[in-house]
Amino acid sequence: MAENPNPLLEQVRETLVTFVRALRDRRTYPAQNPVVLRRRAELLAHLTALLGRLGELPLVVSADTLSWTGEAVYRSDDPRDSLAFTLYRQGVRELTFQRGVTEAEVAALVEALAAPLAGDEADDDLITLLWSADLRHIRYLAIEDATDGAAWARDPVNATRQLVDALPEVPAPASYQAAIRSLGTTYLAPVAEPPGLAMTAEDHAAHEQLAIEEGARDVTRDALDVILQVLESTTRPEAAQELTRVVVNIVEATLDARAFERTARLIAHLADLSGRDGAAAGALRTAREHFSDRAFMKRVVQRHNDALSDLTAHGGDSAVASLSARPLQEIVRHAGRATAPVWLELGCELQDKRLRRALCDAVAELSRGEVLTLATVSRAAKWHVSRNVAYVLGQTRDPAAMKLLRGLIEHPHEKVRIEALRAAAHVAPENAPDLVARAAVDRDRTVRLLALDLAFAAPSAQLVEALVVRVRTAQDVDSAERRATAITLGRIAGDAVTHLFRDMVVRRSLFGRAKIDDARVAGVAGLVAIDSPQAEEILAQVHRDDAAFGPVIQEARRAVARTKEPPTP
Amino acid sequence: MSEPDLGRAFREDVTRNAQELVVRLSTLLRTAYVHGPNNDAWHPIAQALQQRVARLHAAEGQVVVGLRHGRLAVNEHAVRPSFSEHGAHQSLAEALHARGIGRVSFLAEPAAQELIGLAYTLAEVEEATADDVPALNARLHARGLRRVTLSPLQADDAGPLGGLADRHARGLHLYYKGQHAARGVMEGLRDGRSVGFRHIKRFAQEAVELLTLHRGLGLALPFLRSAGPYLESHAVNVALYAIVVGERIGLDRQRLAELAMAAMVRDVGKSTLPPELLDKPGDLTASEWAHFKQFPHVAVPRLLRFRGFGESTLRQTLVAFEHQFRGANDRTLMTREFSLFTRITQIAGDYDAMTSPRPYRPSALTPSDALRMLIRDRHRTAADPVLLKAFVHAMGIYPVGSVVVLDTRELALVVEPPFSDDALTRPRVRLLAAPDGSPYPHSAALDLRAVDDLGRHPRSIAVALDPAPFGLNVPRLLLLRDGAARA
Repeated sequence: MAENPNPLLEQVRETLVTFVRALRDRRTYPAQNPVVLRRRAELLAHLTALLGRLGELPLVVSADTLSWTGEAVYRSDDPRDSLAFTLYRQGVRELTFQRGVTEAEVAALVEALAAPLAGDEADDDLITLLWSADLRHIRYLAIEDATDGAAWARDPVNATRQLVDALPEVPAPASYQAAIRSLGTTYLAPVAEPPGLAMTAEDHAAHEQLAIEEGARDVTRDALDVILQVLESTTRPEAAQELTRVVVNIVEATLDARAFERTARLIAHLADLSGRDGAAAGALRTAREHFSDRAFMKRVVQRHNDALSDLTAHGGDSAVASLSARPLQEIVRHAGRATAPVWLELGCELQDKRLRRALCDAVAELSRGEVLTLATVSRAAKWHVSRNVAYVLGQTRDPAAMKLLRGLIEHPHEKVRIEALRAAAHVAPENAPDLVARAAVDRDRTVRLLALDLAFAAPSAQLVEALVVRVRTAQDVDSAERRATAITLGRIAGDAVTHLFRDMVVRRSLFGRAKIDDARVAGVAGLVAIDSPQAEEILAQVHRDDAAFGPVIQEARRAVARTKEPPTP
Repeated sequence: MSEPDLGRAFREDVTRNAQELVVRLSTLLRTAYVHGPNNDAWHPIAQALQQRVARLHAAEGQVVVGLRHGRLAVNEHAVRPSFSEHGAHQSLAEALHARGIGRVSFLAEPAAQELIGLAYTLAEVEEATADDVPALNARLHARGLRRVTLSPLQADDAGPLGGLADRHARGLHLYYKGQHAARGVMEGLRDGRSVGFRHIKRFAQEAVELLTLHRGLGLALPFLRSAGPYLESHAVNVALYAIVVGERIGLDRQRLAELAMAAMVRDVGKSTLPPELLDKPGDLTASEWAHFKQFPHVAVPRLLRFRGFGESTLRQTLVAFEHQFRGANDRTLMTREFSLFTRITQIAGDYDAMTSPRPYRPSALTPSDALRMLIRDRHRTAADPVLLKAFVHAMGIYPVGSVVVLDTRELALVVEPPFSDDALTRPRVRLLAAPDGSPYPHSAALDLRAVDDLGRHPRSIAVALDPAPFGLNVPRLLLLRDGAARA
C-alpha cells in the first residue's frame, strides 16, 4: 500500500511549481502581461496559505534541488530552466519566505530572478537586485567566496586583537593618569556648542536639492567629458585607441539600454568636439566614424524596433506614440551625408511608419543639395527602398531630384511610381510635364489618377494627346476614372477638345435614342469642364433633346467644381 | 463600508499603531539617558506609548515588540519606517540588539510608571547578551514591573548582521572584507587583469546595512586602518565615512551602495604609482608631482577597460578622475560642477587622510582636530559647504574615537556620534578613567545629553586630547569589547 504523502510537503511542492511557472511566464511575457500578473497572484496566494501554517519557509539551495526540512521539494536537471540552478549560480544558498510576504515582494523576487543577468561583474547580479529590492519577508543567504581561508574571516576578533597588540601602548592606569594630569589643575569648562553649525530648514532643503540635482545629472555625458580630457593628455597611440573604444562602447551601451535621447546627445557632443583642434581630435574622428558605420546604424534601427515591440506589448499604439522620433533624427543628422543611402536601406526595416517617415525626413535634410548621391540606392532591388528614396527626393525640394524621379517613374512597382509622382509635385511639377504625361497612361489606376491631379500644374501637348486616347478608347477605365480624365482634359485643353466630347455625347444608336452610358457621362463632364460658350451650347442642346441629361449635367458641374477646390494636403 | 474595506481599514490602523508604538518606545528609551525619573518630560512620552499599547491590545490581544531577522516587528507586523522615523527605528533596534533582547512583551496595558521603569532598567545596562536577559527580567520584577517581560535574542532574530553576540565580530569581518576587496581590485587593475567588482559590491551593501543600524560601530572601524596598506584602508574608510554623509543627506540605500563603491575605487589610479613616490617622506619634486598628478588619467581607462558602461561604473569613473582636482585653481580645469559622489568622497577622503599617519606626516591628527581643520580650510579645499555641514553633523564635533576629558576630569572615549542636531558636542562616550586616573573597567556608554533633575548636564566634554603622547591605544579601546579592561 502506498504511503500517505505529507500534505504540508505537497503544499510546499505545489507552491514551488507555481513559483517556477511564474518565473517561466515572466521570462516569456512582459511584466504587466495578464498571464504574468495572474501567475504572480497565484504564487502569492500559495505562499500566503503556506506561511499561514508554517510561519516561514526556509529553502536550502543546491545546484539542482531545493530542499525543505531535508526533503527535496523541487528538482530540475536542466540548468537552463532550473529555479535551483538560477539561485545557485548566483551564490544563493538559502532562500526563506516569511509570513507577511507581500505582492510587491513577490513581484520583485520574480523580476530579479527573471532578469537577464550579464556575466560582467559590474552589472547587477541577483544578490544586488534582491538587496536593492529591500525585501522584508524574503531573506537569502549568499556565499562569501574567496575569503573563507583568511585568518580574519575565521576569527575577526582575534585578528583585531593581534593587530592592536602590535600598536605602541602604555598600559592603564599610567596612560590614563598621564592624560588627565597633562591638563594640570585648572578648571575645565564644558565646551559650548559651536555657533553657525545648527542644521536649518534651508540645510534640509539643500540636502534634498543635492539628491535631485544629482538625479538629473547626465552622468554618461560627464563621463565622456572626462574620458575626452584623458584622451587630450594621452600620448601613447594604443592608449588613445583604447579610450576611443571606450567612448564608442559607452555610446553603444546607451543604445543597448534604448536611451536614444542620450545616444543622440552623446553623438552630437562628439561631433561638436571632433571639429575642434587638439590631441584627441584624431581619436574622436575615429569614434565618429564608428557612428557612420553600417553595423552601428543597423543597431540603431534594431533597438528602435525592440523598443517598439516592447511598447506595443505594454500599451499598444498609444504607448508606441511615446517613443520620440527626435533622437533618431538627431543620430541620422550627425552620421554624415555619406550615410544617407545606408539609412534609406535600413530605414525600411523600421516597423513604425511614423519613425520611418522621421528617418526619411532627416535623410532628406542630409541629402539636400547632394541628391545625386542617392542614385545608386534609388535602383535598389527592394521596391520599398526605392519608394523611400522617392519620398526623400520630394522632401529635398531640390530640382536636381527630377533626374532621379524620372527614373523612378518607370519603376515596376506602382507604389514607387506613385511616390515618385508625388515627389515630382513637391519638387517642381511645372518642370515635369513629361513625367505627368507618362503617369497619365500608367498601367496602375492610382498613378493615373494622381497624374490627373498634377496635370493642371504641368500641362503639355503630350499629356493632352494621352488623355484623349484614354477618354475615347481605353478599355481599362471605369466610369469614375473616365469622367475624371474627361474633366482634366476639358480643363487643360479647352475648346480644342469640344468636338471630341460633343461626338461622345450626341452619338446615337441604331435604334434611336441611346442610353446614357459611361462615355456620354464623361463627354458631358468634359464639356462642363471646358466651360466655354460653345461647350455650353452643346450641353443646352443635349438637355433639350433629352431631359434625362439634366441630372447628368448637374452632377458633372458638381464634379468639376470639386476639381477646382484646393487639393487636400 | 464593505467587509473587505473594513478589514483593510482595520489592518491599516493596526499598522499605523505599530509604527507609532515603535517610535514612542524608542523615544522612551532614549529619554532615560537624558532625564531623571521625576522629570516632567516623561509624562507625555509614557502616556503616548501607553495609548499605543492599549490600542494594539484591544485590536490584537497582545503586544510584542521585537526583532525578527534583523528588523523590528510588532506582533506579526513587520514595521517599515518612513524616512523621518528611521532614526527612532535604528535606535530601538540597536538598543535591543545591544542588550541581547529579542522581544519586549507587554502582557497587559502597563502603567506609565512601569514604562518609565522599563526605560531605566535598560539604560542601566549598556551591553548584555541573550544569556543576561533572565537577569534583566529579574531587575524589572524587582522594580515592580509585572506586565512587561523580555525574551532573549534568538539566532534567527539577528538578521543579516547578526546579533550583539557577533555584531561586533561581523563589523570587524566587514572591514577586513572591504580591505580584501579593495586589494583585489587595485592589484588587478594595476596589473591590467580583468577583475571582479563583486566583492566591492558586497562590501558596499553590507556597509550600508551596518552603518544604518550600528553607526557607532561603523565609525569605529576605520581605526583598523593599520590592518593593511594605506591605500586599501583608505578606500574602505572613505567608503564608510561617505555612507554616513550620504545617509545624512537622504540618499536611498541603493545610491549609498553606489557611493561606497565609488569611494572604494577612487584611488585605483594611485595604486599604479611607485611606492617610493606615494610614500615619499619629503616634498615631491616638480617632475614627481607631474607624475603623481597623472594617476586619475591612468585610472579612467583601467576602470573602464573590462567593465560594462552602466551608470554606476561611469559614476565611479567620474569620482576616480575628479578627485585629483583640489582647490580653486585646479577647479578651473573643470567646466562643470563635480559630481555629488566626488564632493562627498573628497570630504570623507580628506578626513581619513588627516586622521591617518603617513610617511610625510607620521603623527595623524586627532579626529576632532581633523574636523576642525576641514572646516577651517574649506575655502582652500573648495569643500561643498552643505556637505561639509552634513559631515560634521553625522560625525559630531568630537567624532567616534576621540579621547576627551570631561568637565568632571574623567577620561572618556567617544563611541557614538550625537543623536540630535542641536547637541553636536554631546555624543555618547564610554568612561575610561576617574579623575585620579583609575580605570573604569566595565563602564557603560553614556549619552552626554543626559540631564539631572535640575535640568543640568552632569557631564560635558571639556577638551579633546591627542592619545598618542600618552600611549593610549584607541583601536584597542574602541574595537575590542574587553579593550578598556585590558588597557
